[in-house]
Amino acid sequence: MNALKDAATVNEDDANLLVLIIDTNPLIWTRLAKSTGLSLKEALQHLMVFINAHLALKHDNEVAVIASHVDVRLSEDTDQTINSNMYQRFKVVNDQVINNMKELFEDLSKLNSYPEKASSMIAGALSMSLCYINRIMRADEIGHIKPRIFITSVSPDSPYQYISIMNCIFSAQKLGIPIDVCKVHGEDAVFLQQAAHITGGRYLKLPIPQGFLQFLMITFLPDRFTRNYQCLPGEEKVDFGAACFCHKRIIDIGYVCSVCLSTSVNEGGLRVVNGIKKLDKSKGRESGGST
Amino acid sequence: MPENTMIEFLEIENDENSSKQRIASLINKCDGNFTMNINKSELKTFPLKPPENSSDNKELVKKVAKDINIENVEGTERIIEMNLGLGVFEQIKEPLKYDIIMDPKGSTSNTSTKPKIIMVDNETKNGAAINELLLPPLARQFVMSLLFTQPINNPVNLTKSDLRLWVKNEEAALAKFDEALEKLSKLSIMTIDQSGYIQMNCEFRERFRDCLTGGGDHQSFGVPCKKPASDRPDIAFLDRHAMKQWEEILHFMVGTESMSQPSAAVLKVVTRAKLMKEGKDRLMITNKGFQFLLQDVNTQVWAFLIQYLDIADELLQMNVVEVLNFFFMLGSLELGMDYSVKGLTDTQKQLLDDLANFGLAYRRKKGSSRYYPTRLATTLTSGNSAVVSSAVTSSASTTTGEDGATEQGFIIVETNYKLYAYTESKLQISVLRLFCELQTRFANMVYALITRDSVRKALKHGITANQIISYLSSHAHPQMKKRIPLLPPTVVDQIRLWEIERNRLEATEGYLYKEFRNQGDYEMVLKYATNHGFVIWSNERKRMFSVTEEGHEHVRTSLINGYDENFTKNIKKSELKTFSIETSRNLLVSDNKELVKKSCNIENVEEPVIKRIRTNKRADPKGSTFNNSTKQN
Repeated sequence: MNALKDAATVNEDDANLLVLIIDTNPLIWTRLAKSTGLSLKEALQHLMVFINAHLALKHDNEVAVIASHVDVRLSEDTDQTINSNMYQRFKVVNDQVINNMKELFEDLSKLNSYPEKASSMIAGALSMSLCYINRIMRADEIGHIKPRIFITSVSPDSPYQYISIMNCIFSAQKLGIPIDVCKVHGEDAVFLQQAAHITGGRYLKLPIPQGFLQFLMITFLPDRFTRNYQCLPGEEKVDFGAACFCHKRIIDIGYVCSVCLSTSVNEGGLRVVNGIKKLDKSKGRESGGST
Repeated sequence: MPENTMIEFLEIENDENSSKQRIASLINKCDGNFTMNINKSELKTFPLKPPENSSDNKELVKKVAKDINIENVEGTERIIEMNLGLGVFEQIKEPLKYDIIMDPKGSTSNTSTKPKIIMVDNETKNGAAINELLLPPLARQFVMSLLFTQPINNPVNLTKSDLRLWVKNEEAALAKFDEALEKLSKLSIMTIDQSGYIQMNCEFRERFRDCLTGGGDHQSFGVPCKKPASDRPDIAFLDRHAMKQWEEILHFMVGTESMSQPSAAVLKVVTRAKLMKEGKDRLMITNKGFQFLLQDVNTQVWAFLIQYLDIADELLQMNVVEVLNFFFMLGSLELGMDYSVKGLTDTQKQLLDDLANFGLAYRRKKGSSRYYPTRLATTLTSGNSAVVSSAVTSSASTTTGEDGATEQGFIIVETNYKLYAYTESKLQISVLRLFCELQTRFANMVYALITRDSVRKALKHGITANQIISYLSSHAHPQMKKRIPLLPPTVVDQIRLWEIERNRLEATEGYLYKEFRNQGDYEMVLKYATNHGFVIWSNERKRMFSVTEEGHEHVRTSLINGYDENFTKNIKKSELKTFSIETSRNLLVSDNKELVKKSCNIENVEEPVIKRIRTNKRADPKGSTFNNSTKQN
């Protein structure tokens, strides 16, 4: 009956808060539209129906949409587009999402200046959604709202964001928020796969991009209550690959610091991670731990 | 190959056995004439297979399904087509088309007289509301999952066992699954036809799809006015109006003085629902009415509307479908917006007047072209928690004063049975009076005590303990709501105990034999009765005993007429006449059935019951007195 237990258990009457993170990386979407025929516009239409369906499931269901956009530098460039508490007011939600999306794309006239390998700011979007959920949960005194996060991802993993993504994942795990991931295109996103695995969410790589909506409806629509009873499709195998903390590169074999569990391709990297000042003092212990 | 991946995705079995079974059943189903789904309008299905596979399927169908070894099908290039019926929804119409001019006649075209069909017909108009209102979560999920699987006029080829594979193989999950399917078929949303396929109601699918994608022109969400009225009432005003109207009805039921007579429709509903009955000179509230008062507003409104629906057909000559449609539409409207009466049928306009009387809608004056739904109406489809959620998000915290109190909750109950109600509403106070002893009244609050007597009084009115408890918890002050459990357990338990207290007595009808002349007579008759197992209770000192109702006839006839050989052997006829046995039909009451047989101390039975038995004695023409009261409790 205490508050902690309430966070984990889900009742039939609970409202669901869905935080939808849409990867709007324009470079990948253009490529995707060419290769598979699923353009961002179409995907958005599918997502609108999905949002409507979510809102229709329960009158007090809520949805928040965050666009995870692209930038070359590590600075945050995510846009929180809407948060709303709509009952049967699909129109309002849809209008708002579409309009904000338009604004987002009008801003970015310098699309061509991005390098080829730019990735979207999933980490920023994730932490923003966690903050948003935290705010909502605090306002909700009776623990009535059960949040979950749903990421539609197109971009490949960005090792630069490894640390921040992992931090987000662990805080989500602590808060008991499942993270669902739908990989629309491309290689498996290792980090997001881990995110779904650790938080008890669903990870699905879309086999047929045109059937986006159907996959959304079957796999990602069920709320946390119905999930207790349903068999949902998803991947069982999880790639637990990690990235080097200093070289920002995904590694298969590396060194792990026994104290802070940071990973690195070589011994020297750990020292860099742990800070220059500590380097001399803790040198022996670190090298001992990592080898 | 796309079809391979598709099939892989669609397999959701969690064990091999069931998957085999399913494949076998699927092969049974393959009917060879699997057509490429030609879309009706905007929908396209993703092709599942190259067309040449259908010839393979034809061959497959000829074989007996059980003989086919699924695991080792010869010639691996062949693809067993799994006609799951799950196409892939590819393209949707552009969303965002909600303000369409509606033609209500179109959507209610296939009205049937069967109530079930009527339900479906209406659900189709407002799928979202119904979906949420009536279906368990799992059923909602099934509806959603199957909604976009195929073009509308092509049925989904799924059997129940296919669907069962979607839920976990656990007892709890399967129970939920059965419940979900039952509900769905009851509402005719999904039905199982002769061949075992689960069919989703086409009309429903279409409507619900329209609802989600914004297609169609059903206009089931009301027609907003083009431009808002200059003097449009604000939300606070609407809340006041709603509360005033609704409380007027409740006041009328409680019988508060100086109340104007409510409208004819209200009168009809309350009498029809047996909330009130004809009294001496005016309508009197019934037990059911008391129970009604304790429910929360949302339940009250629904109960009222359902009764209204009931009379709409017979007394008001309204089309039930239109009435229902209108109810659901009201539920989906936006608070504080103005809507146009244009597009409403005459019935619905008439209905609107009545609803304005109930406080569900507001019209400036009777033929006004605009109407405004109130909070009572807009929370119709959102359940009770709408109040909670609005309090949480504080988006709707504009309510003030009396209605604010009723919506937010105002009652604080302490463990010492003291009750503080922060309300000024006469109505709320008189509801409280039903089960509390009011002590002091202050400017903005009332202080009352929950006592044994006050609760028993309520119980006598037919109010149950659960109703009191649910009233207290649904009207609990926000500060109380933070606590777990909400109400002090002592109080809750005690109210329940007080209720059980009334039920501890069990009545058995019987006849009391007393005033035997001598001990011998008494013992003889008692022995006779005991041998036949008629005795309920006996007391030697008082020379009294009681027999069951059927036993009485037996004992009496054999006593007087001497039918029983054994019995008359011991007594001479003359002696028989001197018997002055007074029999009285009475009630024996005890805690439970076992106790009745052992010994029943009528003296220890609760005082009022005894009194009643004694006072109700009446002379019987046959010389025996009997008790009029048949059954207590």
